[in-house]
Amino acid sequence: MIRKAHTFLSFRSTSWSARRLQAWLSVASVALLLLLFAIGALWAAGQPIVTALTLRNLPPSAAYWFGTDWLGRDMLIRTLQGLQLSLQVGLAAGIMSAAIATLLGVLAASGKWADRVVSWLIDLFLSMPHLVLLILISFILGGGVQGVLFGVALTHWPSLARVIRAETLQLRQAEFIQVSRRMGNNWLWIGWHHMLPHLLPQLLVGTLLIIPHAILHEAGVTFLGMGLSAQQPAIGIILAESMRYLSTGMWWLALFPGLSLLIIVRCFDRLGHTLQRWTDPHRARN
Amino acid sequence: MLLEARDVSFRYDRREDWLLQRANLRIEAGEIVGLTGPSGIGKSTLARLLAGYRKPQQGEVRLAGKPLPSSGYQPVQLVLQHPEKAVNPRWRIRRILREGWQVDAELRHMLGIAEQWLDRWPNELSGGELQRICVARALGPGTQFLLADEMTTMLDAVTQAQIWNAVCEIAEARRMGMLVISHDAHLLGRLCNRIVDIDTI
Repeated sequence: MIRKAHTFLSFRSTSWSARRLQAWLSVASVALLLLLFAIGALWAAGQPIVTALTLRNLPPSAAYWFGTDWLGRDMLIRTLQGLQLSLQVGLAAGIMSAAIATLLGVLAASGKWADRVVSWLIDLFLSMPHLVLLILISFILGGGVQGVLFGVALTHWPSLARVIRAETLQLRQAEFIQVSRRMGNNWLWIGWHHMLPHLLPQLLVGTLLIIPHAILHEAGVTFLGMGLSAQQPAIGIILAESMRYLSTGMWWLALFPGLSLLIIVRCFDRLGHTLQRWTDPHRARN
Repeated sequence: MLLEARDVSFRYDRREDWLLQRANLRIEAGEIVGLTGPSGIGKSTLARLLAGYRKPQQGEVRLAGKPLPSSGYQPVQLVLQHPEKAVNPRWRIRRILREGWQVDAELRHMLGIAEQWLDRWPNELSGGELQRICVARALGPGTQFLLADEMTTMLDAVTQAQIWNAVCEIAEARRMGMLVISHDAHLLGRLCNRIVDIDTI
């Protein structure tokens, strides 16, 4: 009996450590990519974008890794600067979105009427296509960084809000929370000591998973011309411009910036999902 | 000191039938009352009402003639059947024991709580070990009534005996009143001054 229990335990711990190694590798590779990007972005930020008409339309080479465009600008520098801007807007919008989600989620769990109002809002926002609403909000706010930022932030909160609401509702009914009330602790204390540690992993994962959406939508709206202005080195602008030159055979204008965007977005997605598996209470043990 | 349910009626949903209707129960200080009856007819619900987890739709719960306090450490403490649900899985045992009051070494010793458990997580203790923690936590100096809802049903006979011995000793020393809900007629017969059937109240 004891032996049996022992082998069971050791089996569990090996499979667990294998999974942990996998998670570590995944996080390490993502971190490496993001670090590489950060160094690149830092380098690119110091580089002026020079218009050199003698170097127009060059395909990728050792000197110009991503080629040059119709004005002779180095596409690598433009892409890195564009990604940096997209990332900043995406991160800011994602964090704002998560803040809205937390506020509304907790509010919904606090009372019957608040729950009705918030649930109705969530359903309303979920029933509309993201992009349409995003374009609308961005347009109303006059476009630009501000328009896109608020547009993305105001459209990406509902699914996380729903998770936070459900978690909080469940926690309020949990026996250990009720016992804590009977031990003389007030809701504020319980919220901080009991609930927040349970919500934090959900929040972190939720925020990380919003960010890739936010980046893509920022790029998408900009691509459609409703987002960041044409003077800014946004990735959406680069992609939109490259469309005009694709038919003339300048494939590198779209391929490299598009691929870079995809990799960055995947990095965040991967990070979020790894963290999600990590914080799953059934698998993780602190 | 008297804990009483006066004509309490309760249902979980307005569309449902009454689970409890005009139920009355009195527990004196120092008295151990057994509550028995078939499953699903409101024994646990009555205990929850008495401990203030829920408010009855009709009637009232009174402690020494007054309503239960709305804040602060509750003089009526309830210990439930599943200890693993009654503790925060992300807290260490030491912190759990400290939540309501500073559980002293004497009580820990009486309940057989070992020193090395204190730095563990709840999922590293067995059900019996964890239930001792929950009992200790509920036995603060402010506790005047202890309600035990199938408190030791899931535990083995030795653990059961040890926990009940300790609890009864403390109850007697402090003149604490107790309500013991159980299906185990033998256990109720050993522990209680009187046994009440839920159908008769």
